[in-house]
Amino acid sequence: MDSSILKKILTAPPLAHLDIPQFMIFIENEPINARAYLNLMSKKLNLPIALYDTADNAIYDIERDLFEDKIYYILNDESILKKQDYIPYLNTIGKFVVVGFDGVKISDGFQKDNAQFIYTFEKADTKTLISYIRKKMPSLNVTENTLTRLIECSDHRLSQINNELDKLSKLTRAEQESYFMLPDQFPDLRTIDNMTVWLMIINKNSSFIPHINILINSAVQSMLALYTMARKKFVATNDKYYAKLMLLCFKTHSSIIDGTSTSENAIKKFVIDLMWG
Amino acid sequence: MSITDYATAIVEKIGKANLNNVLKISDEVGADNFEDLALNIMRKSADIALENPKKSASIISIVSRYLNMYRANFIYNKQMIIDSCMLELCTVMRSV
Repeated sequence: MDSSILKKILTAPPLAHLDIPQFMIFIENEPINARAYLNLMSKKLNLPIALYDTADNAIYDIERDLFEDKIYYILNDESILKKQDYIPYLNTIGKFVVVGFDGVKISDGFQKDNAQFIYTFEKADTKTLISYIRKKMPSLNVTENTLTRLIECSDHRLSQINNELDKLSKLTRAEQESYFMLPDQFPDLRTIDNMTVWLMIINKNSSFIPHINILINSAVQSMLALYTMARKKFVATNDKYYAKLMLLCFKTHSSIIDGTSTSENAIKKFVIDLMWG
Repeated sequence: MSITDYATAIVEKIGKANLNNVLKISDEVGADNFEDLALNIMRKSADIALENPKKSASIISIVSRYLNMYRANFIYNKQMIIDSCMLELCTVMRSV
């Protein structure tokens, strides 16, 4: 790590009194993409940014959240919490978010209440999340499929999973079993609407796939909305995923309104082309 | 820049353009002027038909398809048409 940057961070005045959250990434190994990205963010936010531990998932999520106007304190990887030198500063800056993996090891002196933990996982990490859930609530006696549904509803965010588990922990054993047995007990499923599905697609979250009926029922409106959102994202990020999404939205929209295809077939083709095309 | 200038630039440089830049062209020209742009692009493409027939044919094929959709403008979204035409031109021309 660049010691001059570290010194700048550690000697910065307390920020807890400010309403605007500050933004720090600690990333190690300095991959080329991370460095270019951090230079951009440093200029944009006029903040010191240090390099420490790296995780590609964190970079992706930081970028996504920033472009959605959510700015967090972010510490990449919980290992920073083990470093005693940082603890006094971390306690000073107030609320922040830890992006990490598989539990957080907290050092002595660190005020845990300051941290909101968010974990980002690729789809392949569902098994790890299930292990985490089982460790956190060993008394929860449900199948892997049910836990997978809990993870999907929570959009792979550990904070949301934790919220669900906290609710469950207050129920009796019989109530817990009942909670999982009825599909409509997952509150997220009941509140999933068009916008939720659209946001899943825009956030490249494949959790939208079980909900394509929502897209089919509002096919034309969905394609127009997704097109508009994708265009905005593409102009902001230059990510080719959004260019592909724009073209698919156009083709799907056109085929539905000129009668070439039914809504159902067109949306199914849209999903296949988007995910696997 | 005039529509003719845009058409010339598109025919000459679309294969090397950045996708984001082609969307800027779409914004600058405006969806309502797509028909003018499309006709100019096709004229310019015809001019290069002898020296580069494959590129000329590809451009005319793509643009004429979108122009037909644009002319049925009571059902298709104009902004989608001009954006998608530009994106598809850029993508296809890279491989021509």
